[in-house]
Amino acid sequence: MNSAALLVVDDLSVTYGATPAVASVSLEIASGRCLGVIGESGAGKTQAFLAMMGLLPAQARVGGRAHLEGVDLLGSAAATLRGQRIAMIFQDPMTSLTPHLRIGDQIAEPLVTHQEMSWCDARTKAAVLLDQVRMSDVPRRLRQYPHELSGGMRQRAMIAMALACDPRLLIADEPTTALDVSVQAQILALLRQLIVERDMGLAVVTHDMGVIAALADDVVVMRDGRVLERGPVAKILATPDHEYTRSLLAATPRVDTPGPGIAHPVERRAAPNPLSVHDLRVHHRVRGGWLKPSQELRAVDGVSLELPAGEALGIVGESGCGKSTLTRALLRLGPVTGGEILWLGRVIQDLGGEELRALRAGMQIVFQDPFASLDPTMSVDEIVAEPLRALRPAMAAAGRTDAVSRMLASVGLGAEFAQRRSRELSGGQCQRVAIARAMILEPRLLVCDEAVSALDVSVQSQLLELFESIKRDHGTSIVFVSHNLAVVRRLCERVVVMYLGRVVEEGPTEEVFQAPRHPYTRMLLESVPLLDPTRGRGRLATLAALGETPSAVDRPSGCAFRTRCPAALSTCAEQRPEPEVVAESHQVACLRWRQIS
Amino acid sequence: MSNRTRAALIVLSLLATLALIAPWISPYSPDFLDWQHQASPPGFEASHWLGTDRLGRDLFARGMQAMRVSLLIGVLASLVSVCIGVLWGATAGYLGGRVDSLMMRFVDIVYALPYVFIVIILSTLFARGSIAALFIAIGAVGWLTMARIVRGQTLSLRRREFIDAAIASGVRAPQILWRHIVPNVAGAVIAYATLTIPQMILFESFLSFLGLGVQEPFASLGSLINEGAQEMESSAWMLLVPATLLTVLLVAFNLLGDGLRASLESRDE
Repeated sequence: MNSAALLVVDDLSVTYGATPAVASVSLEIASGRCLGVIGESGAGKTQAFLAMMGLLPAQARVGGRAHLEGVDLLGSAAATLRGQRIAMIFQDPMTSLTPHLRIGDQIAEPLVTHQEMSWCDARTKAAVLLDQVRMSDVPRRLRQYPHELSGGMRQRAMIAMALACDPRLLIADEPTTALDVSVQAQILALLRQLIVERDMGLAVVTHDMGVIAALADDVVVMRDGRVLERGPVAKILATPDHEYTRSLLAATPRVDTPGPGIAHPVERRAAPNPLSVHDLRVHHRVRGGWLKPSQELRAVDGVSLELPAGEALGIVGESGCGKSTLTRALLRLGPVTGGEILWLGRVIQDLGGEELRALRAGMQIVFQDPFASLDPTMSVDEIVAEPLRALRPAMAAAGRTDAVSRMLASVGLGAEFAQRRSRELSGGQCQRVAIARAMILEPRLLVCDEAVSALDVSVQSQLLELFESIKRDHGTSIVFVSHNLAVVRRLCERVVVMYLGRVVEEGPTEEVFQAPRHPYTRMLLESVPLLDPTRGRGRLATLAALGETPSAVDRPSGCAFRTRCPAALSTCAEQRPEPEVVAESHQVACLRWRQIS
Repeated sequence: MSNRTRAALIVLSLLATLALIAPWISPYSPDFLDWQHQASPPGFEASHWLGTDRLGRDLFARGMQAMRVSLLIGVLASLVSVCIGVLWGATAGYLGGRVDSLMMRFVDIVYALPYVFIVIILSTLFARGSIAALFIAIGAVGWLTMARIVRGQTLSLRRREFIDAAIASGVRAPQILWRHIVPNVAGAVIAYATLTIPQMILFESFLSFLGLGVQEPFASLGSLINEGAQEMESSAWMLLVPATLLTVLLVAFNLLGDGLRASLESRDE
């Protein structure tokens, strides 16, 4: 056993009644190093670390040994260690911060209680800590409340809080899962720097191989509460021993390799495109507060799209770029302020009532949250039959039952699922039901709004295959909205990159991914962690200064991206860039794309 | 289900069964005047188990009849308030916007009217003591809170993706209300309706106590308590019998409703 080890866990187990959540897990973390724990949902990876923090519910039984610098973490002396020698940060920084306390006071509080500092000293230390986590504009941040900060800044504040008492070990549970990819890159780079600066240990719990590649020195692969494999990160990623690790790696879509789903550049058919959108705008009025005028939020601001039959169009962009608003407007589930939506040659943005209802058979949607998109009171066959009842009322009951069972079989669900309800299904199975419901009317357009984002990679990979076969066999056009660039590269023929309600770049997926023209597209692509620790890490470190998407209410003038753009000049603030043709069907909206490429 | 809820359920079913079969076990009918035993205390002589009132009517028979009336009014009025409240609240919450504002402001206005006045006005329109007038009066007040609860639930359901999915599948708004909204608010509605029944019973008893409700020769627990209160000093049992019945009934219903609500909340988590 390594004598320099900071944390030594031996034969740790967690059981709930008769069900083991964690079984005989052993691991070690040395100071100055990062241990990555990877596994899919239900692997017990979070449970193991919650046990060390003493944060498990009372009915959990913990067995085995866990020592931090020789002190027993599971014993009675452990309470004094928590928050001092060992600290934890969680996935969602909004729920982990107290909403009614200012950031400065929240960071100062543990210092006052644990280290008996005066409030004045503690606040000074809080400022130092925020500075260490590279928070911008620290004096102002100290006085702000959590809701005033962006997701990335909240996560920085959480890290600052965790670091307040100089812990020897930091546990990060899915620290970047809720964050945009460019912010994720910044937080990963920050965590990496902090381990070196403070010579502390870091345990990062994640489902994302990219995070492991970017951060970890050593890796532990877990499934069903057990450790399947362990080793240095380079070995696990390159030559894993265990079958499961290999399948995980194979299922992870890669941003740096083209997808198999896109066979060839599709020949443009003579037939007109089923969907085309011209200058679509969706504006909302945002109520001002007391004495503040209301403001206009331009969620979608002049977007034009063409979608040929049988093709998948990827819409990518970070949160707040308007991609979900756009898809809701396309399907007429949300409001449209202006512009034109042409569906099968008909202008549909002003239709309502029965006319609109009749069109719905041709356009269907699959949502992100697999559980929220199924009615909990209905059984699977009722859910799948519902569109038939609504839009094919003439169909006989027997024919409907038949169609439903065939549809369920084609999305990979056997007859035994027909009577179940959503709470009896896994996330992937729920999503299959949602796809079956969307496909039963044989629509010509399927919109997927982050449809695989909430799922484990192995399930994600199966669903992507399903989408590929839908596209291939039914000739259905797909609009695939995702923040995950790797998934889009695997599935989509064409890609549209959005930033603050506008399209900044559009083109064939391979062209855009191999030779991105817009600086925002480049930044997005560079932010995705590669599954290669040697190549990936240098990249992330250089990115760390690029900030976050501003709010759509105060959009920068001219080119909206100029505030984060490394190539911005003063002209970018004055002139709004119009789309320019780079190559056939490849457009970019940047004033300086010629100079920077 | 906790022991308390189970006990409440058992007590309620016992009381309801007793009230229903009382005409066959009691040797006296509720309006029979026993001239030999006027105002006699509870006892087993002459089979007046709970005693008699001033006119010699058997208190057991009268009490059981009163309980039938109270239960009937409580359950029916709750049903009426559930139907109106669910329909009103779900429609307002689902349609939202201006329709929602108008419908809920109407609820606010009716809430603000003193309900005893409404009852007095209504009882002048109908024949005195008509049970129909009582239903209307109680139902008019009872559905307001239900509508508010259902509207709140509907607003949060409205944002769930399965509603959007139903719209995208071409389901019409009334169908969405009936097939998606109503089944999903049913749990909360049942729990709250169980808590409404005792309120309705109490309300009816209160009206009858004031003399606005059930009239002679019928009795409800409220009117029995009113009669008993007049003889409180000389013959306490005339007050104690209906008052005890009412209390047990109300406590059991409240415990049951609380239990249902608790199990509903734990299911949501």
